Amino acid sequence: MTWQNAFGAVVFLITAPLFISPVVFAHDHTNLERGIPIEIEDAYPTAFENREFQGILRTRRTEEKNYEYELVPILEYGFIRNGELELAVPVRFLPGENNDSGNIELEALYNFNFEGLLLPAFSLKAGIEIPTGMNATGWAPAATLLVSKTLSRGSWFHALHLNAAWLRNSDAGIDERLNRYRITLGYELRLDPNNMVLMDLQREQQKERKNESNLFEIGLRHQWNPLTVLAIGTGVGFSDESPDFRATLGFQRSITIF
Amino acid sequence: MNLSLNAAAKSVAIVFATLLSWSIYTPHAARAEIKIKKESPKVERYDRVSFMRGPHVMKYFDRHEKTFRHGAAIHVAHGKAHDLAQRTPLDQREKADQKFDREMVDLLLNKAPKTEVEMRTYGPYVSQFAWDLYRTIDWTHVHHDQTYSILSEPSIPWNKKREWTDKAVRHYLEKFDLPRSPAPLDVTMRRAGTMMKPYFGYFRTHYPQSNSYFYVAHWWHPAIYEAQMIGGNDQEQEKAIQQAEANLPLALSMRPQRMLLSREIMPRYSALSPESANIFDNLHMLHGIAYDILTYPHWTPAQKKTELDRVIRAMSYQPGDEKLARKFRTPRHDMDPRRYEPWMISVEGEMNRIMVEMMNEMMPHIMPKATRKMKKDAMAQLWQKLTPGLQDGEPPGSFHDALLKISPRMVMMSGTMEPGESNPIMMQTMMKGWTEKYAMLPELPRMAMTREPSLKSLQMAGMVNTSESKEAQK
Repeated sequence: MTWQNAFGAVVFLITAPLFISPVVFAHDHTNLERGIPIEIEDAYPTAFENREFQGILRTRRTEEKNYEYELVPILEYGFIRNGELELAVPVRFLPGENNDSGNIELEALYNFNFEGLLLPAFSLKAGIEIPTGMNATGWAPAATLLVSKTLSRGSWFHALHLNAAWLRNSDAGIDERLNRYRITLGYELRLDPNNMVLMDLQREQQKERKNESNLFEIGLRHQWNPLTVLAIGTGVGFSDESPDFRATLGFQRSITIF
Repeated sequence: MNLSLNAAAKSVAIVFATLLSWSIYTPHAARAEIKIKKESPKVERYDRVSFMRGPHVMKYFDRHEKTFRHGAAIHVAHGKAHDLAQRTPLDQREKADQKFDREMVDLLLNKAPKTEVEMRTYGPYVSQFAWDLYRTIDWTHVHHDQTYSILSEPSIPWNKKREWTDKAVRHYLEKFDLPRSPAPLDVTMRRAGTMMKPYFGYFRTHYPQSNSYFYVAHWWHPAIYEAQMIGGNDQEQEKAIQQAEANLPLALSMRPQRMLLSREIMPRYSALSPESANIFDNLHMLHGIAYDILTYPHWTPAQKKTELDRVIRAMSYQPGDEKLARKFRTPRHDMDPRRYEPWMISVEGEMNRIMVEMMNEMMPHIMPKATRKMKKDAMAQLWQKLTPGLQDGEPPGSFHDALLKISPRMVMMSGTMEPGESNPIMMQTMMKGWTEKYAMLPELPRMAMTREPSLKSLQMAGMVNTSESKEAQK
């Protein structure tokens, strides 16, 4: 089987349930999720008892001019009031050794407040990457502070978001960092009832020591109908170790078959 | 480029195993008791809840997309009106009122969005100090959508509609901490006690066009329910809704001059689920009170939040409210929702009957030595305040100020005009008045849903009424 066939099979298996599930309702349009379509995430969880299926298909061109592909199926569940659980299994299609593809990522987010006129909304997110994938080694815990603040002084909805993440590599090699950070500053703007435009700027320390990447992204979230949120985004890197270019397709759907 | 098939297969298996395990787990257990918050929290919680699952979900959109869109356009207007009322300077209100109305009518008739909006995306400023108001409204809009969808879903047989609607009402009341009350508006308005507050009638007076836009919206919502109720599960539902929808331009050109209640425009649905019907009336009234408070120029956002929190909680579910749900009459039980009629436009109707009753209950206490003329003048002032726009001879400002001119020695408990404060004696007096008038009223019987309605048979009978709803009225 060629990699293209395998890729096609995986895409089909992941997306087929969406098209046969009779009723789904994406009421989560304003709730920004990491990677759909850009990295910034807001400080608000999904609604209590909401069950949502999300998908991300991402490609990026490395500084070596290679294309890498990643497919990320995600299940999200509002397991408590103001809290959510996310389970993701990114599958990577790399030109090289494809390390970590198939790792399980489990994350829990808890929101502390809705924003006020001055006070932003705050959430904490804790996550763990379980080394179940290809050539995976150590467990990778992470913690993220999420802050959101609406800027509007009228009916023009726009907001700023900040994500500050600490990432731990428990099995760091000699040339790898044990602890690293990722900071993302994002902006959200409602264009009309169905469309939101998003922008963000991200700086991240890479696993490899001395490597840092900077990324600027822009994306659009479109509520296609009450059943479907579609998202498309693109980004460019602007330092030596940053990806030249990346593009993302994403979707969100609440599951209502159960 | 290599692909690890093992890794891919493992990942897919894990995702589907998780999906399957969630499918077995359905966390719908009701809370043992419903707790109503009494305070006005300084820092609000996000606290949103997901919708009830079932075969009906999104059927309203699938089956009646144009109608769904009209509802979505109205909800854009609701969201936007919060910031309009809060942010518009006094001297720009007239212009802003006309502009808002023009834009919202255009959105409704020509550019209705294909998806529902949350209040905060069109009223973001107010969301930052009155979040409980927004999540209460959004949650009740979810209930609107659920109940429209239950009536739209043909796989739910006609005789099962009540069962599903009751289930949706339970989900609405049990999952959320601030649901609207299923008690009639007659009760919740007495509980809220807003008539003597300094903001009473401000939106109606200063934004007459926008206010009457919402009066059209509050005709339209129940008219659609009632069209579903006379159309049944089959294609006649589409026909009845289209015929009701055809009146929308007429209703916008000749607008109701009062808030129409569920019992007037959807008597059959009110007999199917009085709880759900009352929830809608209580939401629609909350919209109006919130706009009044936000329009009032003499309070800070913090004070407005305090008062909004008081009203939201006073009109929310209280233990025992369900026992009062059927304590109202349906004045036109055989009305045809496909007709837009003169009685719908008049300022006189159920809503203002409630207001006049409340005034009559209060008057002996606040104006104990009032002459007959003073009482007559007070009532005339009330009717002027209840009519949209500033009427000839109507003093601008609150109803309380107008009454003071008629009766300078009016008795009011000190502090009860302040934000977040209420007058318990007055509320008890009004509740006593309601009890005397309506406690012995026979409960509105549930509508028998044994036979699916047919437009043809209704026409042949020369009326739209069904024998079942006639029985319900006896």
